[in-house]
Amino acid sequence: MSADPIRVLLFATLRQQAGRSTVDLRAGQPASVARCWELLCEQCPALAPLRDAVRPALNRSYVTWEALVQPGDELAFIPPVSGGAL
Amino acid sequence: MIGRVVVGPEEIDLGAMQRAVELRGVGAIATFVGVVRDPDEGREVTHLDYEAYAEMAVAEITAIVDEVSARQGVGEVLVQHRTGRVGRGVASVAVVASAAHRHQALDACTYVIDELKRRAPIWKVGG
Repeated sequence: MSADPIRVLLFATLRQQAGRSTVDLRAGQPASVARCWELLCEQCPALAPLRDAVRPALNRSYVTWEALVQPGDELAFIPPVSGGAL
Repeated sequence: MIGRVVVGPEEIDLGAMQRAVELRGVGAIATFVGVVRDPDEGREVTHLDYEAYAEMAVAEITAIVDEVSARQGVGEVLVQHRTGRVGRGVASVAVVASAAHRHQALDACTYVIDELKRRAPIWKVGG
């Protein structure tokens, strides 16, 4: 039985640096958000320097780097936001 | 149909938003509109391009609206943020809040736009 992947969504600078908007990870489950970031950077090395600038979000809520990610979860690393007019 | 929180490419219909918050007991409606500014710091701006993690942005802004709606006197609060290309002079974000009294409505607007800019996963890209 093969578990669902963890889907990582990339936005703004992360999407531009990685050259793609989604990456699927297969981790030994459950994996921490921090471990998922390492796996992501193995596939997209250009992202590695951005770790201190991003905030992880799991299933559309902000979480800590220690949060546990399950197969099938939606994970995103949110670069500094800049909504609003100016 | 006016959604409580909308994040998407649709143009902002301010009049419709304001009419939607007119409830019984309301004595004040405060509106904040963020507009693409030209020039910005001496540089010509023809447009801005916005990208959003739309599902999470709606969830996060809804949480912000829930926080402010729990305050005394606050009635209905609506928020819309555009995605995609927005031309100069055009509204990219709007917050409309009704309340029993003016300070409650004005404070609600301020809280929502400040928290949105801090928490909502929306970005200006390129440009």
